Amino acid sequence: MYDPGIITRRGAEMRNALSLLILPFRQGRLILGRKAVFPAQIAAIAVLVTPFALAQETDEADEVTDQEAEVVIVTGSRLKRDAYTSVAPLQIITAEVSREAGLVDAGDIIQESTASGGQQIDLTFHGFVLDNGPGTITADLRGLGSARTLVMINGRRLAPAGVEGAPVSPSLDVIPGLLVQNYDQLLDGASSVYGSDAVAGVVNAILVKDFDGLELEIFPSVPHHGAGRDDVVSARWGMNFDRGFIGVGAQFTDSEAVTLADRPWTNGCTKHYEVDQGGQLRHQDQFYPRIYGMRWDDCRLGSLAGRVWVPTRSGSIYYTPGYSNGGWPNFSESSTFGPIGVDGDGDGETDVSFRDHDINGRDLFAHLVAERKTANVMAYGEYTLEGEMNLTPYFEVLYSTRDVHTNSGAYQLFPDVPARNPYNICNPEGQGVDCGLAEDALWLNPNYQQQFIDVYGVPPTFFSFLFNGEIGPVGTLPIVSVRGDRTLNDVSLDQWRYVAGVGGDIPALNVGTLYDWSFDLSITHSLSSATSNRPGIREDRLELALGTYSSTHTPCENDTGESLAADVAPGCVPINLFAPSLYANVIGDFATPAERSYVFDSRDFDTENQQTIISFYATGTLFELPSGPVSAGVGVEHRYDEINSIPDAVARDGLFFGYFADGGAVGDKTTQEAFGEVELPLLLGQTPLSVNLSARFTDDEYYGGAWTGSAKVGWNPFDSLLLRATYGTSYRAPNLRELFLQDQTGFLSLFDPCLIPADAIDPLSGGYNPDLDQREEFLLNNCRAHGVDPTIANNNGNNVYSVEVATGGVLDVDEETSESMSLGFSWEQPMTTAFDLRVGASYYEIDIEDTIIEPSAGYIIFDCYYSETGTSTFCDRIQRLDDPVLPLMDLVGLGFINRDNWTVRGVDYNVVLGSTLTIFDRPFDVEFDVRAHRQIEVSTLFVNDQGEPDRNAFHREWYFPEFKAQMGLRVDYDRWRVSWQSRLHGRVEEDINQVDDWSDINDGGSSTCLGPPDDVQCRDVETVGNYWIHHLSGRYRADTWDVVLGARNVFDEPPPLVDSTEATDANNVPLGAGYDYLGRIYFLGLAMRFFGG
Amino acid sequence: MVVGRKHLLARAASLAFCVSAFAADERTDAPSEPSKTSEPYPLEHWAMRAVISNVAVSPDGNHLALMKIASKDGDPIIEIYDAADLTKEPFRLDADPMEIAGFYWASDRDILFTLRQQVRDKIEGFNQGVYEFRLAVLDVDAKKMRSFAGERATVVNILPSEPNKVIVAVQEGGDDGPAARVRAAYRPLAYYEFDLRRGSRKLIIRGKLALGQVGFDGEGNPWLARGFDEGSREYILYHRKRGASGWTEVHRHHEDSFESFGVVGFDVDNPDDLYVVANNGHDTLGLWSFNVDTRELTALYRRSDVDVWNVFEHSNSWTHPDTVTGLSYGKDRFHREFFDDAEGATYAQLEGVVPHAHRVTITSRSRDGSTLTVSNSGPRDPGTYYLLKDGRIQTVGSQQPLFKSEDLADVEYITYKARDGRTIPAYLTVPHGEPPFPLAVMPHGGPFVPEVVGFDKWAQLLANQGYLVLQPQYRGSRNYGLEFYQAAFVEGGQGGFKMQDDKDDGALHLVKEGLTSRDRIAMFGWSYGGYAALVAASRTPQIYQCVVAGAAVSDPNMQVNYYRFAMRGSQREEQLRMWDDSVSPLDEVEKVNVPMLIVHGSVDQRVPPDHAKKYLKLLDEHDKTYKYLELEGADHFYNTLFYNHQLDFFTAMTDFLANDCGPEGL
Repeated sequence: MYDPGIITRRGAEMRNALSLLILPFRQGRLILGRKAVFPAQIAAIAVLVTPFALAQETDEADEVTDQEAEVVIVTGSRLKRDAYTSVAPLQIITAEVSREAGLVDAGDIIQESTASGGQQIDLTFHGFVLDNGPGTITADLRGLGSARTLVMINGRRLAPAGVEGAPVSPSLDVIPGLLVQNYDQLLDGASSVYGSDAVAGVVNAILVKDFDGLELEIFPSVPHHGAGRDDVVSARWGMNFDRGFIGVGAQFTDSEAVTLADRPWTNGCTKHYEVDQGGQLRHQDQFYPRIYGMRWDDCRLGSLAGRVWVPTRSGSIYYTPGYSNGGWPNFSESSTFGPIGVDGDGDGETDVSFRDHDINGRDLFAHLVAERKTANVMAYGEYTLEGEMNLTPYFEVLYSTRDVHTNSGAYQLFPDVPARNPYNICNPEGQGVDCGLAEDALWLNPNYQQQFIDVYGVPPTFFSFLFNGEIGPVGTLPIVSVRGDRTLNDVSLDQWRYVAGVGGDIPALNVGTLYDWSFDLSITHSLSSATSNRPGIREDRLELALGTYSSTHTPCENDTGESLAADVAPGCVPINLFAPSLYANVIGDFATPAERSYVFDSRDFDTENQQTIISFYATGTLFELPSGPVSAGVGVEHRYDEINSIPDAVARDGLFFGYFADGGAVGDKTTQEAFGEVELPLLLGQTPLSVNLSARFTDDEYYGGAWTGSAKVGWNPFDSLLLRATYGTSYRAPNLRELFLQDQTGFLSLFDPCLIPADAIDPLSGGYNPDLDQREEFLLNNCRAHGVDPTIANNNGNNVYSVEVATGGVLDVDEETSESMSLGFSWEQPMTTAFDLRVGASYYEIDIEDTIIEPSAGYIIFDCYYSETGTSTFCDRIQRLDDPVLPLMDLVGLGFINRDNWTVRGVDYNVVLGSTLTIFDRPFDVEFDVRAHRQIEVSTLFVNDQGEPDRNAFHREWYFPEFKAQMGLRVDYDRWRVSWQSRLHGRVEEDINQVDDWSDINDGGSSTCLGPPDDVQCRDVETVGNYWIHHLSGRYRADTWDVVLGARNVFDEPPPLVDSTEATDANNVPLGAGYDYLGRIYFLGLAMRFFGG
Repeated sequence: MVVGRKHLLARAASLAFCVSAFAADERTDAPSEPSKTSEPYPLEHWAMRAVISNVAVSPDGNHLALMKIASKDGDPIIEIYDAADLTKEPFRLDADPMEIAGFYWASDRDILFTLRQQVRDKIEGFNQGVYEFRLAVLDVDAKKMRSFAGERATVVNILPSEPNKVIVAVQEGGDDGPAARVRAAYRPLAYYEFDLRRGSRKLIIRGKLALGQVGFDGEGNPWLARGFDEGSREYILYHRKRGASGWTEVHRHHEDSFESFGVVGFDVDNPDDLYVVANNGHDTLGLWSFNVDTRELTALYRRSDVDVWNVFEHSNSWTHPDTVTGLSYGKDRFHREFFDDAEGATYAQLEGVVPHAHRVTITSRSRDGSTLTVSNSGPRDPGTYYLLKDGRIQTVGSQQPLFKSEDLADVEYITYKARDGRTIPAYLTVPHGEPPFPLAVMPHGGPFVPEVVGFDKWAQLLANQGYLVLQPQYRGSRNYGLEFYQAAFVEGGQGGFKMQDDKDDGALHLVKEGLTSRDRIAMFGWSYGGYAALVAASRTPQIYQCVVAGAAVSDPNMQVNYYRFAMRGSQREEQLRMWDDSVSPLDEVEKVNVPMLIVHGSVDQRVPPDHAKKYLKLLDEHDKTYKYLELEGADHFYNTLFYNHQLDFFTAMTDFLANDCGPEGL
C-alpha cells in the first residue's frame, strides 16, 4: 500500500493550511470547462469519491479524478497516444448532436456534412444507372466521387456493398446509426496511413462500445406531410467481466416510401422554371397553346404515350376514344404542317392536347424516396488472457440486411408492330384500317381544311401529292406506357463483416528505450451478397408475340429462323398493342393478364463482394526526447478483394425492351502493403512542435508498386494557438469496377456532328448547301479523317439518333495519384473565463493526377470531332457503319481511361462559442457553433497531346456552392437542452460560359416567353440562392432514460425548384443537391437503460 | 465517552525498540519556554515552502530518500542518502522538465515517482488536461530513471512481497475516439501488475462503470470494489473472498443519504471482517467491523463527540501489509487509538523522545524493523524528520528549518456557547506576551470540512506578529457529527446568519475572557473563510475593525451555479440548501463599514477571480475603502501559492492589519 506517511502529510498540509473547499468546487472546475452535461453515469462516478474520501486523511483521490486520462485512437494516425491531438484536419460529428437534428441515419448525417461535396447519392436516386447500383448510399467528400472517400467502421475499412454492375463503394446504410457514437471525418489525403482510396479523406464511424446492461431506444420520425414515416428501434446489451467484455446491439429501420404525390412540391408535374428579362418567374408553356391551340396547364411537355406512330406524314396519332379527326378509329392527328393544331370537330379547340397524353404529372405514384427496411446486428467482445503479453483475442461481427423497394414511375414502350399484325391499326387486313386512306380522311375533313386554308390560303386538296391513297398494311410504332414496366425494383442486400484478432504487448522487445510496444493482428472478412429484381417487358417475347419473326406477321410464330432464347416461345400469347387499356389513361396495361404475364419477366442480378484483410501492426515508443516520447508504428497488410456480380440472361443480354445490358463483373485482386509512422515531439524554442511522418508501400497485383507518404507538423507558439500543416501523397488503385466490369451496353440518343446539319440542307433541293453550313473547317476535317464525308452524309437533318454505347473494365489503367496539403490553425481565446471561444480554419488543396474517368458518349464525340488539332485520343472509341454514304455511328465505347487531373481547394471553418448565462440566478450553458466550408475551386484539367490545357471549373455550380454551413445553438439547463440547428446550402449557378441565352418559343430555346414584339425573352432558372433549413429540438436526460423531441425543417421550407434541364430532378426538385425534399418532420427519441451488475 | 472498543490481539512486541538506545547527544530537544523578547520572523521565512518532505528509508534500510526544494522558486529534487551516514554527499535527481510530485520505495533498489508537468493553462485545448502525469522508476543501484506505464497511471499497490512488481491503475481509452474524451476521463480503471525489471505488465482486472474502483491487498488479491447503480441511485460495495473469482455485492448506500459508509481495511486474521467507518444510524462516524457474510456491523470504536477519521496500518508495511493497528481521530489535537499494543508502545516510545512530540508518524520502516523514519509536527514543530537506525535517532531535517520551537505559539482547544446556545469548539493560537491581544478570527474554508489545528502556518505567522488567532469550528464543520454539520443548512442556509454568529460569538467570548479587546478584532479567511470575512465586513453591530478576505466567494449563487447541475444526492442537497438562501456578500456591499483587504489568485480555478472582480466593482460604486492584491498566477490551493505569492500576501496582510485595521491598526 501507499506509504501512509506521504498521504498523511499531504492531507494535513492542505487541510490545515488552507481549508480548501471540498468536492463541489472541484467539480466546479470541470463545469468551467464547459462540459456541463455529462452522461449521468459520469457524475455518479465522480461523486463516488466523496463518501469515502471525506472522513479520511487522504486527498489522493483528488489527484486521480483531476487527471483527464485516456488512450485514444485518433482517426488519421495509427499510433496509440495519450491525448486527443490531431494535426490532420479532423471534423467530428457526434451522433448526439445529429440526433438533436432528427438524424440517426449514417447516410443522412454524412451527406449533410459540410465536407461532403458533389452530388450525394441517396434513396431519391432510382431509375438511374448508378456505379454502385440501386439502393446504395455513398459517402463523397469534397465531391471527388465515392470511390475516392475511404469509409471505415471503428478504424477498419468498410467493404463495398451493392448490386448490379460492379459496385465498389461501401453503402452507408450498413452502419447502424443508433449504435454510432461519432463520425470522424479526416479531411486530408491519408493513403499513407490507411491505404488506397483515402484521396479526399476518410469517414470513420465509431460505434458505441461502452455499455453495460441493456439499453433500448426508439426513434420514430413522422413527417408533417404524411407519408414517409421512419421508425428506428435499437436494443443493445453488454456485459463486462474482469478481463473482458461482450456486447450485442441490434437496430431495425423501417422507412416508408414517399411518392411524388406525397409532397406539395412534387405533387403535380414537371414544370418549366424560366425567368424572363424582367425577372419574373414563368412556368406556363406558350408554345403548344399558342401555336397549336392546345389546352394546357402549367406543366411542361414530358414523355408522351397513348399514341401510335404511323409511317405517313402524320407521325404520331393520339388516342381520342370514340372520335377521329381522320380515318383512324379512336385516334386523331394532333398537329400538322407547321402551326396547325388540328380541330377536326370544329368546336374551336384543338382535338388533341399533348398534356392529355403526357406521362408527366400522371406518374405521381413514383417514389420520391424509396421504401427501405434495414436490420443491423453487431456483436463484439474481447478477453485478455493471463500472462505478461496480455494477449487479447477479440472479435467484432456486423451483420446488415436491407431491402429497398423503388417505383420509378412510368416509361415509354415503343415496339415496332409489323404491318400484318392482326391488331395493327394500319393493317386493313386485320382489325385495322388503311392508314393511307385514314390520313387522307384528315385532309378531307372540312374543319381541318378550313384551318389549312386559314394558314396557307388553299385547302390541302390543293396539294395532290399529300394524298396517300391506299397503302395497305404498314408497320406502326405504338408508343404506350405499361404500368410496372422496368420501373419497379427490389434490392435485397446482406453484408457480413467479421473481425477477429488478437492484440497484446511485446515484452520481448523491452530492451533499452523500447518498453511499451504492443501489437495487433487481425483478419477482417466482409461478404456482401445482394440481389436485384426488376420486372419488365421482354423485347424478344414482345416481338414474337407481335409476329415480328413470322413471315406473315402471325403472333407467336417464328418461321424466319430467328434464334430465340429457350424461354421466349413457351407460353406465347398474342399481344394486342392497340387495346384501349394501353391508351386510355396514358399509363396503361395490357388488355389481359395473360398478355402481361407472358411478356413480363424479371431482370435479376446476384452480386457478391468479398474483402479479406489481414493486418499486423505494432506500435510503441522508440526513445524519449526531453519533450516527450517518440512513438512509432509499423505494419503490413494483405488485402484480397473479389467481386462476382452475375446477371441473369435478361440483364446480361439486355432483353428488356429499351433497357441496357449489364454483364456484371467477375474478378479479384490482391494487394500487399507495408507502412510505418513516427511521431516526434520536438521543441521550437520553448514551444512544442509535433512532427508526424508516415509512409506506405503498396504492391498491387495489376499496376505494380506505389509509394505514398505524408508529413504533418503541428506547432503551438502559444498555448492558445495551434498552427498546423500537412502534406501528403495518396493514391487510388483501379478498383474492381474499373478492372472487371463486363460490358454494359445500352442505347443513347447521340448527336452526330458529321452529318449534314438540318440548317445546311437546302430547303428547295433537299441537298447539301455548303453556304448554309456553319460548321468549322477543323470539324469537317476531323470527320473526313475518321471516314465520314460531312458534306455527303445526309440523314435528313435527323442528326440525333440512337447509338449503342458500351462500357467495361480494362486492365491497362494505372493508379490515380494525388497530392494533398492543408494549412490550418486553431485558436482558443485565453483572455477570459467568461466565455470559451475556439476558432479554427483549414485551407486544403487536393490535386489528383491521371484520374480514371469514364467519359460520356457525348464527350467522346465532342472530343474527337471538335478537337482543333485533330488529335483526340477518343476517336477510336467511335465505330461507324461500313456505309460509304451514310456511315452512322454504330457503337461508342465508354470504358475507363486515366486522363484528367482534378483539383479541389477550399477552406473549412470552425467556430465554437460557449458561455454560461445566469438568468433568474440559474445557470444556462449556451453553446453556439458553426462549421462552414468555402469552396475555392473544383476543376478538372486535361492536357492534350499538344500540351494544351483544357480546364473545366465546377465550383459555385450545382452541387458545389461556394458556402456551406451548419450551425447549432444549444442551451442547457440542468438536465434539459434546447437545440437549434441551421444548415446553409449556398447559392449555386450555372457556369458563366454556359448560361442560357435569352430566347423565346420562336427559336425554341425558351418555352414560356413569346419574344418580341409582344413579349420579352426568357431563360431557364439556373440559379438557386442561399438555402436554409432549421431544426429545433428539446431534450431531457434522466439517469436511466432520456428523451428528445423535435422537428426537422421546422419552417417546412420547401426545396428550391429549378428547370428540369438544369439538374437531376424529380418534378423540378433537385436531387442529391443538398436540399430538403421531405418537409417538416417530427421526431422523438427515447432511450432507456437497464443496468447490469 | 468511548462507547465501544474491541481490543485486537496485541502482537508480539518484537518490533519495539529500546528507548535507551537513543543517544542523548542526538536529541535536539530544547526548552520550549517562549522567548518573550524575540522579534517576529521576517516574512520571507514564512513564505518559504516546506524544504524537505517525503522522507523514507528503503526496505533494506540502507538508503534514505527525501524530496527537497533546494531554492525558494525551484522544483523539488530527490536526494538519496546512505542511511548509515547522512553526512555523505547524496545522489541527487531531478525530473526536468517534469516535476516530482512524490515518491515511494517499491523495493530495495527501486523508487517509484509520480511526476507531473503543467502543459496547459486551461483545461480545454490542444492537449486538454492542465497536467500531464507520469510514473517513473529509479533504479538506485544503476542510478537510472525511466518512465513506465505511460501517462495517466497511478500506483495503487507496491506488493511488498514481490520486490519487482507493483499494481498500477490505468485509465484506458480504447477505440472510442475523441468525442468520447469526457466519458473516457471517467472511465473506470484497469489494473495491471507491472514488472519493474522486465518492463512488462499483466492485466489483472478491468473495471467498469458499475464496478469501477478496485482495492487490492498486500499480496495483490482484489478484495473490494465500488460501483454505482444508476437505476436505484445507490453506491455499491462488492467484496471478493480470498481465492474466489467473482464479486459479491455486500452493501448498498443511497446517494441521498448523508450518512457515510467507507471500507477502510480488513482484519488480516479474519479477512471477511471489514473495517468500516460509518454512521450506522449514529450522529458521529465510528469504526465498525462488517462481516461480509452476515452483513452485520459490530461497533469497534465510536465517540459521541467527534468522528473516527480512519484506521492506520502497521508501521512495517513490508512485513505487515494490510494490518490495521489502530484508528485516528482529532479533537483538541490529533489522536491515535491502538489495537496493537506493540505498535502503541512503539509510538509511545517515539513520543517520549521526539522533541515537542505532537503528531508523530512513522513514515517508513525497513523490512527488519530496525530502521525508521519518523516525522513530527505540531504547534511547536513545523515538521521535522528523524532517522532512527541502529538504535540512534538523528534529525534528517525540518520542513521549516528557520523556525525555532520557542518562537512558535501554543494552540489551545476551547469551547464556547453561541448565542443560540450551541456549543462551538475552537482552536486558539496564543501569541507570546500578555493579554489582551489583538485578535484575528480565522474561519476555515469549506465550510463542510473537518479542521484540527496542529502546526498552522498562517495562525503561527499571525501569532508571531503578536495576534491571538481564533479558528472556530462553526456549525457546518465536519468532525462533530451529522447534526452539527447539517445545522448549517437544514433550516435554511446559515451562511451569514448563524454560522456567522458562531464566529462572532467566539470573538466576543474571548473579549469576555479578557484575552482580547472589543476594539481589536479582525477577521481573516480564505475561500469560504473569505466569504465569511466579506459577510463580516457589512454586519451591524460591527465587532471587527477590518477584514482580510482571500479567494473569497462573493457571489454564492454564481459559485454554486458552476456545479449546480453536476451535483447529485446528498451533496446536491447540502450545497443547494446551504447556498440558495444564505447571505450573498454582493447584496451587502452598501453596508460595508470596515476597511477591507481583498486577495485573489489570478488563475483561481475553484473560486474564479470573477468573484473578486464583481465585488470590487460594487465596492467602487459605493465608495468603500479597500485594498486589493491579485496574486499573479496563483490558483486556489496551498500548493499553488509559491514563494512570491506568499511573500506578497503576507506583506500586504501584516501591513494592513498593523496600519489600516481600526483607527491605529489592530
